[in-house]
Amino acid sequence: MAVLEQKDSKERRYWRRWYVSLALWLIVLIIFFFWFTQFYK
Amino acid sequence: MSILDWVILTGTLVAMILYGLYQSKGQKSSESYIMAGRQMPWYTVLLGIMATQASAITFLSGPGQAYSDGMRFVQYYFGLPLAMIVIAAVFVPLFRKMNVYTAYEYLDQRFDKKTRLLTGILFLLSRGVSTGISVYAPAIILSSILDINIYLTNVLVGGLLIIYTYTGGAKAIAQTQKIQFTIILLSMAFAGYLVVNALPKGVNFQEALFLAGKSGKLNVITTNFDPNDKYNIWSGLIGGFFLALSYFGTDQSQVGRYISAKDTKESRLGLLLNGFVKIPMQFLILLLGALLFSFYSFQKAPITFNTKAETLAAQQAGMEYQNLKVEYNLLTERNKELATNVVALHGTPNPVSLQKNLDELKQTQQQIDANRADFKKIIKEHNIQAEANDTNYIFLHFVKNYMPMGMVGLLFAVVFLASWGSISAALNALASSSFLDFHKLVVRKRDFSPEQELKWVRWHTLGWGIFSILVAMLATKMSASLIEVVNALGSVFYGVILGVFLVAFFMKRIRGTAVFIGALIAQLIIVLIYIFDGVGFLWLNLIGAVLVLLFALIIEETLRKKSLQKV
Repeated sequence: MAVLEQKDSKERRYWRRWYVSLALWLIVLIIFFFWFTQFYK
Repeated sequence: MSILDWVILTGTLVAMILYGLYQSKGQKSSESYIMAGRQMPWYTVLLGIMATQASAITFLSGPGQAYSDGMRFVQYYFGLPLAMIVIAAVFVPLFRKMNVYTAYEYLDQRFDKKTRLLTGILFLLSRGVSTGISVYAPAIILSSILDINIYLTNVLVGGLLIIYTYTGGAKAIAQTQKIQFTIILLSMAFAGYLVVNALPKGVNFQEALFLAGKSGKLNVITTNFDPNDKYNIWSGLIGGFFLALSYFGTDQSQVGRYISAKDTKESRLGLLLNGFVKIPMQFLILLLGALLFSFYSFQKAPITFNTKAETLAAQQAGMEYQNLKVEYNLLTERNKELATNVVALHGTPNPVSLQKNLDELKQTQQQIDANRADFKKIIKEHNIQAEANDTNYIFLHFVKNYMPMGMVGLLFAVVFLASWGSISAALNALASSSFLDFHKLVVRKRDFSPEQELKWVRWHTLGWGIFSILVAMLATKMSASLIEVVNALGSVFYGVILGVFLVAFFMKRIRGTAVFIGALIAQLIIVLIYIFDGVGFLWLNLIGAVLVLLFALIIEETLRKKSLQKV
């Protein structure tokens, strides 16, 4: 049981890292687009 | 088009059909036909999701949109990565756990049959008609540019793909989409290189960007909050999030792609990677349009990029057209001179002179836009049978007139392949849903053998294929504004379907009858808002979903109180 729970929490952490990375990627893109818009205005 | 281009175009299309037929082998049951045997790896899921979403119009209207309105259209996709996170975290595990074939089947297990039927019918109605329009939209452009009869073009765009979609189902679709989308991406990247290469001597990539930026075409982010404005950061993040959540989370043409993956991990990876690459891809497609704008500043852009419209206007509008054309030619000549001056002065220590040229360039561009608008009026007033809006023609005008031999054929093939990728997935989804959520559930309730099921789903695929071609044929008789209305049907239904799923996932207390009645009332209100043009269409998804949550909650509480009173 404990092994299963440990595996489950490991998997949850693994996917959480993906979700956070994707959200950060969106923020990076928006910052880049802001810069792009201002730079070529 | 040269003979070589025709050979490349037809060769690519024939090869794709043969490859689809090759991948059709071994279809023995409806599970392999609908779910591709649930064997797809993440990269096939990713390319399938992207190919399903990106129709021919994505690659044609993207550059055109940036040319005429600037790059702010990219904001439309800002909500997509966030939606991918929610779908990967919440939707995928539930769909996989219940082992469903269609998204609506889940609602049967969670609520009841009537709710499954209602959402299934809303999906079939909107997706069925919009598939027909996605046959017609590229067909009308190809027919005009290649000078082929529109009815024949409708059959070429919407009919040929039925061959492998009918025989091979989801597996053939997934495998062909993989090849199609790879060809599309490589060809578009090469087209981008050729656009930069086609710029006049002395104008490099940086200067083309400078010119496009000063002409207002590199406006990727717009922060003004206006509910009627389609593309700004707020409508993109909030409205776009709900649109992407509805589309990827509840539209069977997308759900079918990722639940056919090997396991939950492969489904999630496909979706999340789509979240990573979609916005940069759209950005590059739009950048292509901004670069085309700079290119045509030096090449004297035509008064319309729909050459057929100009030929007909010359014949039917006589002097009115001639006078406009004379004025337009003078303006484009001046525009070319000013653009050359601006590029020459850029980077030199002469800011006053640069600013003077820039100011005059902007004025000239405004006059050019006014002339192009006058031309559209001529088309409408003289009832000329050609599309007045030429946004979707811009990229192909460049391809046909400035691309090297061979590349022209390949890029026209790209338009067909992009259409086939999204239409084949839609046909498979429509057939799965109409067979499983309607035919099997309502018309004939007894069990089918696996062979019978396969036979029936194939008949449904063929039926939807013919239906979408018929809608495309009908669209040739519709007015432009009616086509727009039909095209927007998706946004009218999506929000409500999403609302039903959100109730299913997050409001465990609510039962079938409450969500069913709530969805009906919400749908009625959304249709009224749409008819009276209340808000920009992206917001309809959010409003529809919220209304379902609200009504379902109120009705559930009322029903519970009533049953308590009876006791």
